[in-house]
Amino acid sequence: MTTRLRLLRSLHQRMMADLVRAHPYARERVGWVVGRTATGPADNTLVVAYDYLDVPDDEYIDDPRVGARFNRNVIRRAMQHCVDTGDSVFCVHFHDHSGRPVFSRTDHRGLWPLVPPLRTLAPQAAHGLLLLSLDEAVAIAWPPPSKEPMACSVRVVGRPMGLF
Amino acid sequence: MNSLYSRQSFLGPDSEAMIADCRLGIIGLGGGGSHIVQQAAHLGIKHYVIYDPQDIEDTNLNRLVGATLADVGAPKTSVAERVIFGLHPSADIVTRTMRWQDDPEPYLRACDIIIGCVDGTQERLELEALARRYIIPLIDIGMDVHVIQPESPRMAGQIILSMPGGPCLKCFGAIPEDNVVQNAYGEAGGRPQVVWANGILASTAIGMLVDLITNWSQTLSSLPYLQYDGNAHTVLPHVRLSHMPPNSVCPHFPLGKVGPPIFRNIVQ
Repeated sequence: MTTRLRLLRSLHQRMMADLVRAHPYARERVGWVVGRTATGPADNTLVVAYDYLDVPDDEYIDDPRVGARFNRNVIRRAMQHCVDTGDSVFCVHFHDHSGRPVFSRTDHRGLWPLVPPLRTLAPQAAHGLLLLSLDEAVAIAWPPPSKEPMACSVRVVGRPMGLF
Repeated sequence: MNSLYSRQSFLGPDSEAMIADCRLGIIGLGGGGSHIVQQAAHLGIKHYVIYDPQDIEDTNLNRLVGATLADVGAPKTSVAERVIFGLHPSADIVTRTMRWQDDPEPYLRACDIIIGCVDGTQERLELEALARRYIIPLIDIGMDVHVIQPESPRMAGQIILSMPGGPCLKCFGAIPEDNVVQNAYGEAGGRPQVVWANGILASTAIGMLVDLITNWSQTLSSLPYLQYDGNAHTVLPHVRLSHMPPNSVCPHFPLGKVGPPIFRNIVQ
């Protein structure tokens, strides 16, 4: 089974421009990339991203123990998007280095629990987590109807292409 | 780096992996598509989705690269497979010996890049619509020969990169706005096609593809619409580009209209 997240370079640039901005107290920013899911009999799932939902500054909570902590409005907005559209939602954040990024233990602990409510609200869509570095990206996704997350390749479409 | 690709190492340290990882869709395996298959395989692409419904006829042998007299009657897809497997025995090939419109899902949407070597306006429109829906870059190639008496035949062709988010075939003026379907071929004999023109168009398309994947030339603004003059033996930026506004946004394929088609019942 393969899962793939495809997005335009212009959307990737928009995400990067938001995520790299310094915050008054949060050390990282997060956002949501939303897209439409195509599933098929040949065991491949594709998510075609079409928009990015940023997180306003005042929705972060000052917590020096983690890179970013945010209030309930942030997850509520993602859940509402699922309800309204039935589309895919991926939580995205950024690690400030070159090369292949790796989800940290804190990412696993803090971000994985965001996904089950999304899957409940939009069960036909794949949801997951996207992590960007300066020049690469990795993602994990829960494609329907799988209960287990799986590696998700990321395709940034533009000039040049990004095949991650 | 694999020694097979040492001569193209200038494409970048990760180019071999990036090229191998790319899934290429090739629609049409005739004069243009057979060149595409051959070059893509030599380049190191290992994942393919190929479509062509036709069997090889003797009239194809003037240009169908890789085909021999013994292949007459065999599907064009079989020659493509032979060429690819000859270089990559473990290549991942999805072979569809049919019109792509009859069974596009889910194979084509998995492609990272599609090269369209199709006949006629309607099929190009349909292929671009699919590519845009799944934000897949489409490289369209085609050629034709026209006779305008009393002049000698004029051979012309095009290579167009239809990049999602950027101008589409209609924006470029390569397809008329009114969707009027034009004849697939000009009037210079029955379905005029020749091997060298197909080769030039296909080679240029593969060059675009390599640049898209590796960015080796660092010319991100390279021109996406090239015109081939088969009489003058030139490939030049298309004259229509000079009349297009910079950074023009495509009105035909809005960015929000992506993903699989949705069917709604309009009968209450």
